[in-house]
Amino acid sequence: MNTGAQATRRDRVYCEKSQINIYRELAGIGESGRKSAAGANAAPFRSLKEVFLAAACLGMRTGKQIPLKQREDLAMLSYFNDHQDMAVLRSIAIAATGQIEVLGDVNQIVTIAEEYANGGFDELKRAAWGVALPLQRVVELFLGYKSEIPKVPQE
Amino acid sequence: MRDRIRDLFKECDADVQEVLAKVLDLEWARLSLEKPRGIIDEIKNIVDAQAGGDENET
Amino acid sequence: MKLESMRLYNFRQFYGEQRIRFSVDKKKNVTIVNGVMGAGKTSLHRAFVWCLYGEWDEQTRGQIVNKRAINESPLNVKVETSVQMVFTHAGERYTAVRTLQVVKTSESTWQPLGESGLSLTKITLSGQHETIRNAQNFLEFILPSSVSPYFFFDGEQIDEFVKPGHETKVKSAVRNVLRIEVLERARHHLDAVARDYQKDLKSRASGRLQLLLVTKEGAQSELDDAQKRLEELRTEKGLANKQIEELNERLRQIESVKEWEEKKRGVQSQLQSCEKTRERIWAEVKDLVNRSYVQMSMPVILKATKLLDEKRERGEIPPGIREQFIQDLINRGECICKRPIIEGSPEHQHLARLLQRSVSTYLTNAVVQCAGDLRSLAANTGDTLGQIKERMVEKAKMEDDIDAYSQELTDISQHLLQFDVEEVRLLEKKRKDHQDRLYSIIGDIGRKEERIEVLHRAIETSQRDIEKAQVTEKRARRLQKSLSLATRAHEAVDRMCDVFAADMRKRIQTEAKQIFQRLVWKESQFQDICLSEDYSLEVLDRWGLPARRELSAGERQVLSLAFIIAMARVAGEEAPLVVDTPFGRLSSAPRQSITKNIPELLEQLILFVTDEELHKQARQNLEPRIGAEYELRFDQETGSATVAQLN
Repeated sequence: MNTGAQATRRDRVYCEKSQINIYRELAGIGESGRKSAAGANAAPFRSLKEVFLAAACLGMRTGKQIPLKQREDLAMLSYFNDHQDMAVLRSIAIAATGQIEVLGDVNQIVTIAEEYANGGFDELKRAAWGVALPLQRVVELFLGYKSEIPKVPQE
Repeated sequence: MRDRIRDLFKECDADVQEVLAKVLDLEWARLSLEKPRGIIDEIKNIVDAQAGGDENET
Repeated sequence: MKLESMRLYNFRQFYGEQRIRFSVDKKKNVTIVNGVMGAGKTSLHRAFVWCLYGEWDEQTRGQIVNKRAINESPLNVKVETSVQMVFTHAGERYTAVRTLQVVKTSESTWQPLGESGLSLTKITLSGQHETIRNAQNFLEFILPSSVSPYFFFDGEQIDEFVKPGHETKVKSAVRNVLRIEVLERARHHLDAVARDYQKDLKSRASGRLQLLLVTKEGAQSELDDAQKRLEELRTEKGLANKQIEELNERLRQIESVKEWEEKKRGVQSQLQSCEKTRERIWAEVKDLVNRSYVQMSMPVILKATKLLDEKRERGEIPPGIREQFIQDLINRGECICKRPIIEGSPEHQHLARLLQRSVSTYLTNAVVQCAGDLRSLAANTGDTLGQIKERMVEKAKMEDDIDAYSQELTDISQHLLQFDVEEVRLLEKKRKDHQDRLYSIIGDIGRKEERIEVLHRAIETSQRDIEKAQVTEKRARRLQKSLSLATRAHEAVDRMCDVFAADMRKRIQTEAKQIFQRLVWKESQFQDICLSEDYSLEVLDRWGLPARRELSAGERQVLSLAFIIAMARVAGEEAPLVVDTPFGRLSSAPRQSITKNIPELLEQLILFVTDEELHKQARQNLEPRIGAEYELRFDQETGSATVAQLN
């Protein structure tokens, strides 16, 4: 199929509205930009982008793709660097649709990622939200997946 | 020192910056007084003037 | 502010008029005023603050008016005392004159005629003058009275900032010089203004809005209490720390316990080092966690790569058939072999199908790029999860070490609790009690901070809801706007208050360290200077432990001086340093170092010295920078002092 000119090109990434507070907590951000009491140091993620990427990966692993009901602004797409962050999102889109054509549609790539992030969010929340040492729990969560990751011969 | 303090608020909204510039000047001028009388009302005037600035109401 | 000259008239020991001109040269920025004890050095030094601020304590310093002048005066005739200072500030020249008039009422008594009066005049280049109204306020602007002790200071007090219990002095100095008070007042007042608006709005509002306002008020009230309690807890923490330090010190004095205390110190130092390492490891883990999503995505990346490879193998990328080529054929309605291609015909349909299947140029590029990126990611990602695992093992080991050291400390404490000297047992018990209390306070502080955070968020949410609530009444609408603005302004200042103070503290710390290192004369075993959150000025040894106690008297004085100069530099204060008996308590080494280095660090330096203070090497060091020198001469017969210029 031909892809013509893109429909209004997405420049933002969204999450489910009900999730935004927890997203912020996981990134150590208060509502007015104020750092949380435990300090940004205690939060497991550096920024909202990293939370999103982690959630998207987890969603992909568990195969949960859930469309957003009510969108909340999360981050600018420009924060995602092209050769790494976006590459991962593209791979999610390709793996999810089985189609390479999706690469021509940024909107679709982002939407798919958002839906997987929505699906993976619960696991992240369960692990990390409202607990002491959330970073510890995230480490345990990730290391739990370690054995499932194929070793790739390094260059 | 005054300039340094002013710089702190460069990233705030324009109307907040306006208010703060005037309030800080006021505070600076009254710094030697232990309890500067009437300063609350003066600050209110500053805020009202800035907030009511674009009002078209009478 | 740069001082140009001073004129005394019947001031203290100085009968009649005495003048002194200070050096304003950039290179030769030092003015020396020599005088033996009693010649009027201290009086002259205090003349500055009397002139500028009217500060004079007759009880401790004696009367201002020259005795001889009063003596010589007939009864009921005014006698005047004055000090005039000429100075420049921000490119303008000013004259400040403070005058006190007294009248002799009998041979042995006199009465002042009112308070002393200050007049301030600006002198323009063309010789015109302009009286400054509100002279006192204006001077407060230039050099506030609260800050003046750090610029007009008594050398005898030189180590004030490092004496035990100095934190209050340091805090007060930093806050004054940096005008932190301005921000804090603004914060406090804006908060009061916002609350006033809120109260007003509440009385006009109805229904939902009222409820929201009540909720917000409730949270604010709880927040006030929580913040107050937090302050108290922090004070208690400081106190507990001090008490523990004192007990440690006392234990160290006891001979039989010295060895144990040394051991304890060693273990504490190890413990601190382990804790620092653990923090570093944790930071690395966090960094790795944030990067590990790539490795976590590896199954997906490989699946996508496989798909892309399959497409390539099938010849779909790059496209075996060019889109443009097919489009051209369809448009021409004719094949390259000249066969016609009619719309609707099987040939036309076939071409249309091919066109649908072919991949556009944009997509081709995207695919090629993506394949490249994914391959690169797969090859170069590395085993971040493996690294995390390794760090966690390291961290666990560090935690074992920390546990072991903590246990050692507990063992030492236990040993001391059962020591055969009763005093030791008692001291250790007290220390342990304070330590336990300290942990408990720290826990409370943590909880309070969290609660405060929660309350801040609740208040912010309330405020947003309040702003959204429908307000129909005109006046109420305006109030709401003002409330919103005042609230935002308050929040901005609130955020800045702590940030500003912390930032300035860091800068003073850095500056003080540089200056201290310049001034200190021996290869320093002091690694760092620390100005902590609670305004404790500390020097750290090479193990990062507080070493203020190990400083010699001279080093302490230099530290104090370094701090003062650092403050002035950070505040951007262009003010002279006027010191009375700067070297009275210094031994040779610090004196050398200061005389060699200080003039470079300041705009203007005025020293009041006795001849004993400034001898040989110290004098030699200062010599190239001396721009003016005076001597105070006291005449025993007349009981008066005069100022004589020496160069």
